[in-house]
Parts: sequence; structure tokens; C-alpha cells
Amino acid sequence: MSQPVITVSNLKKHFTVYKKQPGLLGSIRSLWHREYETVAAVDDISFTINQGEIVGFIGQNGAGKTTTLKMLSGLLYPTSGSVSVLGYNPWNRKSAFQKQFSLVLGQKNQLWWDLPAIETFLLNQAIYDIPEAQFRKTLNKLVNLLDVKDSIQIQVRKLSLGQRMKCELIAALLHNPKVLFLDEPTIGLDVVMQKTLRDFISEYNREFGATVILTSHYMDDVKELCKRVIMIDHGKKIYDGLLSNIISKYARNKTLSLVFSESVTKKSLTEFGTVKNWNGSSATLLVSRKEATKIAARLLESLPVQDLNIEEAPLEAIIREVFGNKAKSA
Amino acid sequence: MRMMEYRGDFLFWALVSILWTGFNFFFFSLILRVSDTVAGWTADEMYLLLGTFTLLDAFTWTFFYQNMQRYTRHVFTGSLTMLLTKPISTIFLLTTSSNSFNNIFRFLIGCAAIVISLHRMEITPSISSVVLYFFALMAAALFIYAIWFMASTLSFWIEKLDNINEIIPGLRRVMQVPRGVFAGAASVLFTVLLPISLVASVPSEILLQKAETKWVVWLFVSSFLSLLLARKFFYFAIKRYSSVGN
Repeated sequence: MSQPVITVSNLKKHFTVYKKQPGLLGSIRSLWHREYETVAAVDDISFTINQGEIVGFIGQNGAGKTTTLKMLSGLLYPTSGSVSVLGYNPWNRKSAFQKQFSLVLGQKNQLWWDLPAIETFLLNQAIYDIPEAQFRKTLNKLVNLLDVKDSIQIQVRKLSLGQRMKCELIAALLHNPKVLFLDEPTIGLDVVMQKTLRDFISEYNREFGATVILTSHYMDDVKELCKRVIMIDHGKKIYDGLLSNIISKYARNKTLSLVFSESVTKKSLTEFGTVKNWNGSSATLLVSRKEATKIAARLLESLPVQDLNIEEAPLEAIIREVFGNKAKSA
Repeated sequence: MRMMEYRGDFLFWALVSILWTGFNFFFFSLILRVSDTVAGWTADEMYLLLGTFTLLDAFTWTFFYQNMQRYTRHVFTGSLTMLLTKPISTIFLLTTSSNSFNNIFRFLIGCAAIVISLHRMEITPSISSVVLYFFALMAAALFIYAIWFMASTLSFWIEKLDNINEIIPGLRRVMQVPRGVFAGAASVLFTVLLPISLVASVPSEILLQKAETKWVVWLFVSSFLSLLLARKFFYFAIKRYSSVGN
């Protein structure tokens, strides 16, 4: 059984922010008097992650995902609680710990803007103390995997976003980290590039057994990479378990797609469920998840159904509903 | 390396730095036309002092100015985040990430002014004096670095602190005059509490063989103490770092 690599206990992070009244008068007033308030960005979360897991962190903007990652990386000191990553306390920032993890922030870069990416790679080789042979081998492998051989000697500022992200990943992985914190690594990339990066992360996890925490607003990232997800809302953990169980836990409805051999009225469908689409020869119904099988059987008995398909609600819709309901009840 | 990617910018700022240095020497030559001495320093001694200051200034401008600008910007924009994850001293990364070699010509001008002044005064410093001179210059550079770094560290509290990088260079006016210029409270401030006036004076006095031991010792001691303080201050300040929102 895998050992826990990351252990988080009762972690909290509160920020003090000030509110300013709009306009010039508000600006002048704020020179003397400011209203401060405390924001609980992370509010008492706990979890453990074992070696080799790829865990998705899902949450709305401002939920506390990136703040959590930053505490796990040792960038921020928590207000309270404890964290252990690879046996280290992250905010002691021991170099032995820092050599074993990597943080990729999709919206920030570590590549030097004015120089070709290879210069940053060489710098990282020195910083992480990577032996020359290992460095060349890893670099060649990563460059070929991500197909950026022609890009690494061009000024970073002249590269496309996709090329830059690939080079960012290379810079983050040159030292073969055991733990990867990926904060929206595919943000702003086209669908082809997103798939390339996902395949690469999956391959890296398979080959090196790296533990990965991934935050992303793209559900495809989560669906393809993560078996387990942790859902965060307003700093609190609201779900921690298998991705597949989110559907059984939160999905209330299923979708029935019907094709009829003869024309069917809309009225005749309403007794079975909510009609989402209808054009006489086909229809889509939203039905209760628990009753879906029974309703499907009744439809087959009562109506001239030529084809019937039962589908789960899309993951995005389920998660949207979860957070939407949380917002309404707040 | 990064600056030399932009050749036009490099050459332009090299020209500007040469002109600035030239104007500085010209300014003091005007003063020396009116008065034979400045706080007891003859014209040749003043040019030697200016040469030492120019060396020091070229050095601090090359290795510190851009880094201190970037330091405050890193804190403000949240890009300090990426530096903090590296398994290497963050202070080292902040201090050495950028150089501006367009001051190399000022360095050469400073050396020339020192050599010419010594030649005109028919002074041949001993090897020990030259060695002590370089160590004193290093101590002076480290002192400037420490106070600049501490001032930039205030950005953890003050958030936007661009102007700090103009205040510190503004102290250059104090650095390029003999310490004897200051009297009373100003003397206490710039010689004892914040010994900025020693950074060019003491090394120059060493070459001129008129250095006082207590000021030499105080330059080295205050450099060491200020470096310690800068480091402690940084590690105290870093706990306040909150990055920025995504």
C-alpha cells in the first residue's frame, strides 16, 4: 500500500484585506482610514494523498485551491494547521525538500522573458544541482516528448503560449520532482495543446510515479487525469473521493435520448419527465436518477421507441449544480 | 546577459552613463575653480575620490539597481512566488538575477581618474594599501547593498514601493563628497549611524595614506552588521508574503 506523501491537518489561511470606497474622495479617505476585513481563504481542510496519485482540486474562482497549493509549496505561512509533504514542513523551505517538488502556475512563469528557454534550463540545472549526464538525458527526453526542439533557443517572449507552457513544464520537471503541484497548467491553451499536456502529465506520472495535485477549470483535464478529486468551496472541503462517485452522490437526474419510429406528441412525454428537446421523431427527457430504469421500461412499453439512450448528466453540469446550490444556500 | 539581448538599449545606456559621469566630474571641476579645496581635499584628491565613487557607483549600478527594482516588483506582482520554490537562497536569487553591464565604461573612467590623480600627486601606494583599498571598496559595496536591500524589503508592508529605488541612488550625493564636509548632526548621521559618507572617503584615504583606523574599522563593522540585519529583516518580512490572487 502506498505511503502518504502529503498530509494536511486542519489547515487554515486567513488574509486581511481592506475595502476602499470608490472615487477620488474614497481614495483620499483611505489615506487616513481603512476598513479591514479578514477573509478565510482556506478554512480548516484536511486530507492525505498517497504516492503516485493524481488528485484533482476542483473549486470556483477564489475557493482556496491555489492558496492551498502555495501552502503545500511553502510559499505561504498558514494561519493554523499543519502540513507534511514528503516528510517535510514546507514553510521551513529546506533545500532537500525543494529539490523534490515542483510548482507550475499556469498564470505565472519561471522562464526568463528576455532569453531563450535553454538559458533557464541551464540555470535550473545549476540551482537543482543536476549532474550533466542526467540533465542532458532528461532534457532530451522532455524536449522530444513535447516537441519543442526548435523553440528552446528562441527568446521566450517570441514563443506562442503553447510553446511557452511546454517549456515551463520542462523547466519544472528537469530535476525529476516526486511531487508536482500544477495550478491550471492548460489555461489559455487550444484543445490540441491541452490534450498534449494531459498526455504528457499522465505519461510522467506513469513513468516516474510522481504524485500530482492538479487544479483546473477544464473538466477534461480532471476527467482524463484524476481518479480522485477534492472539491473546495469558500475555503472548505466539501468532497474528497473518487471522481466517479461525484456522479452518484450529486447527480439527481439522468438524460434519456429517444428516437421514435412514429411521430409522438410532446404532451405524451411530459408524464415521464421534463422534456428538454422534442421534434416529433426524437426527444430528450430529464428524469430522476433513481427512477431512470423504470421510466425507460415504461417508455418502451407505451411509446413507439426505436432507439433509447440513457446518459449521466455531464460532470460539468453536476459540479456547476453543486456549487450553484452551495451559493444559494450561503 | 539579458540586457545585451537588446543591443540598441545597451549602447544607448552605455552612452548615457558615460555622459552622466562626465557631467559629474565637470560639476566638481566648477566647484574646484572657485575653491582650491573641498573640506581640506585638494583638486587631485577630489578627483581620486570621484574616481573611487565612480568605481563604486558603476559596481552598484551594474549589480544592484535592476535587482532592487525587480525585488520590489516581485513582491508587488507576486512573481516572488517562483523564486521562493527554488532550492537556493532567495536572497541570492533576488540579488544576482540581473546585471547591467552598460556601466562598464564608467568603471574604466573611474579607474583612469584614480590612476591619473595618483600620478599627478606622485603617490605610489604600497601593495598593502592597494589590497586594503579593494577590501574597503568591497565593504563599501556590501554596505550599500545591505541598506538598499533593507529598504526594498519594506515592500512586504508598503506593497508598492517603486520610489525606494530613487531614494537610495539619491544618497549618492552624500557618497561622493569627503566625510569631512558634514558637521554636527549631519556628521553623526552620515558617519556613525548611517555611514554612507565613508563608502568612497575611506578607501580614497587609504590610497592617499591618510586613513584613520577608527573609520576603516567602522566601515568594515557597519558593513558586516548591516548585512546581518538585512538578512534577518528579510526572513522576518517573508512571513508576511501573501502573493497575489490568480
